[in-house]
Amino acid sequence: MHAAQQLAMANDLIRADMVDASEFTTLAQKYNVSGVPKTAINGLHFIEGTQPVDRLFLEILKAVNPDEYEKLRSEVRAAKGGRKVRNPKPGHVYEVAIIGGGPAAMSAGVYAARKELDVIMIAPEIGGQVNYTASIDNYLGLPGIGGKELTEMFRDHVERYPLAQAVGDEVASVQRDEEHFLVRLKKGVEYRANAIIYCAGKEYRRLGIPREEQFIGKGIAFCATCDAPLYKGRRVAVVGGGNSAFTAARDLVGFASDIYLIHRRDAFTADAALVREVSKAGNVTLFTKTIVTEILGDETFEGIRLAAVDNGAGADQELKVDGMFLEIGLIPNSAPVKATVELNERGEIPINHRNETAVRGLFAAGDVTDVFEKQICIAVGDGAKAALAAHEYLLEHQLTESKVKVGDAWE
Amino acid sequence: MADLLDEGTRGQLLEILKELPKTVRLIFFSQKPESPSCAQQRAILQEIAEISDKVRIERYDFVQDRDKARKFGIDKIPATAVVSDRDYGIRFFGLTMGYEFSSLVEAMILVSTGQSGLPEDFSALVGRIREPVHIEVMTTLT
Repeated sequence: MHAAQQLAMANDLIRADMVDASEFTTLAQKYNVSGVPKTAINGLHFIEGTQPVDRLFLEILKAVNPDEYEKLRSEVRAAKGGRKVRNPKPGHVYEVAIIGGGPAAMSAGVYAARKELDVIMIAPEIGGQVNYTASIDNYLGLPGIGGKELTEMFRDHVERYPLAQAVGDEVASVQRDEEHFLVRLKKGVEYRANAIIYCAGKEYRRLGIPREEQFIGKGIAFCATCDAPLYKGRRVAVVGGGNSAFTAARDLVGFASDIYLIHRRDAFTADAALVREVSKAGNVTLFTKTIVTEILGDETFEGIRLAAVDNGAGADQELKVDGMFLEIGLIPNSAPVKATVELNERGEIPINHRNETAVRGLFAAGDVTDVFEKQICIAVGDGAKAALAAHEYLLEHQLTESKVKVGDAWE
Repeated sequence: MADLLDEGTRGQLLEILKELPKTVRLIFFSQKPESPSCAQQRAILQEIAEISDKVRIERYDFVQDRDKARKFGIDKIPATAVVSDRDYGIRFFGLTMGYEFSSLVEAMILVSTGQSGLPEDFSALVGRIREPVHIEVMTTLT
C-alpha cells in the first residue's frame, strides 16, 4: 500500500488511489476483486497481493512501457553478468546470421552460440507471434505459461551467450554472392555472413484496403486477447470466419458493447461449438458474404464501409465502429528471400530434414518454412536442428574458426 | 460526533504530526445530504485536524464544486486527497479506518516531507516511467 504512494511521490505522472472495495462494489466487481489488496494499473493490468515497491515498479513499467522494461531487465542482467550480448558490427562477416526473433531463432541462437560460432541475430523484435499469445498450454513442462513470459525465458537464455544482436529493424533482402550472404536491412544497414538461418516466422494477413497500414495500432488490431479491455463499452468489428476470428469475438463479448463479425463467405470454418457460443451472445451480429472496402475517418478510426459479395444480402453500408480486429490468417515473412530461394505455393520456404533449403548455406526453421505443423515446440526443435546443420556445413567448408566438433556431445 | 480515535492513538498521532515540516491539506469530497460513510470519513479527518494545526481540512461538495472535483480527479465519494504545497496524486476513496488509517498517516508524512523515502538510485529508475499511470489499490478496512 505504502509502495504505491511512494511511487506517486517519486514520479509526477503516477497517481495512487487507495480504494475501499467494500464501499465501491461496482468498481471491485469490474476489477474482479476476490482478494485484497488487488492493484489495478490504468484499469487494465492487475496485480494480486501486496507487492514490495521494486516489484510494483517493475510491474507498472512492464504494463505501460514494455520496451523500457525490457531495456531495464537487460541492464540488470548485464550488470549481474548473465547477459553477454554484443553490439552488431555492420560490414563484419559473421559465420552465421540468424534472421528472426521468435522461438526458432532463439533456439538456433543457443545452439549456434554453444558451438562457439560467430553469430548475429537480426530481428525487428524479440518474440514474434508468441508475444501475442495470452496463455500457452502445450509447451512441454510449462503448462499455462504466458506468451510474453515464455519469450522472456527464451530471451534470457539466448542472451547468456556472446552473440551479436541487431534488434529493431526488418530485413529487406537476403542474397548470396560469390563468397557470402548479404543481409540488407530496411534502414540500409548491411551484414554479411557465411551461412544464414532464416526464421522470420509469419505475420498477420492484412485486408489490402487503402490506409490500412496507417491505422494499425490506431483502430486496427490483431490480438483480441491483448486488446479486448481497451474496447470496453465500445463498438468493434472482427474480420474473418475461422477459429481465430471467433475466439477474438468471444474475447470481446465481455467488453465491447457491440461486436460485428464480418466474413466474406457464407459458411464459417471455425469449430461449430465456438460459432454456437459466439452467436448466442446478445451483442454479436454476424455478417456473411460481406467484405470491408474502406476505412472511415481522417486522422482517427471512425468505422468501416462494407460491401456485399456473391449476391450477399447485406446492403453496402457504413458501419460506425471504434476498432477492427483482423483475424484472417497468417502469411510467411518470406519476401526477403524470394529472389534467392524458390518458395512453395503458400509462400513458405521448402526445407529438408536437416533444415537445408535449396540454396547452399541457407538454412531455415520455424513457421516460415514448409515444416509440418506450426508450433512453438516444433520451431524450437527445428531452430536447434538448423543451427547444428549450419555448424556442420561451416566446418565442412572450412568457413568457421569454431573448434567444436560436430554433434552436441553430452556435456 | 463521538471520538473515533482512542487516547493512545491521539497521543501517537500528535507526536507524528507536530514533526511535520509542511502543512498537510486533507481535501475532502462528499455530497449533501451526506451518506453515513461520508459523514464518518469527515469525522475522522476532523479529528486528525483537531490534533495538530499542521493538518488542515478543506471540504468540497462533489456536485456543487464540480471544477474542484475534476481538478483533483475525484470520480466517487467519500474521497480524500492528501496534499501539501504540492499535489503528488495520493487519494483515498472510502473510509480511512483500520489498516487504512496507518496508510493515511503515512501519506501525510510523505506529502509533508515531500520525500518518497526511496533510495536515490531507485527514484531515478521510477523516473523512467514516462506515461501517466493510475494505480488503484483495492483494499478492505480490516
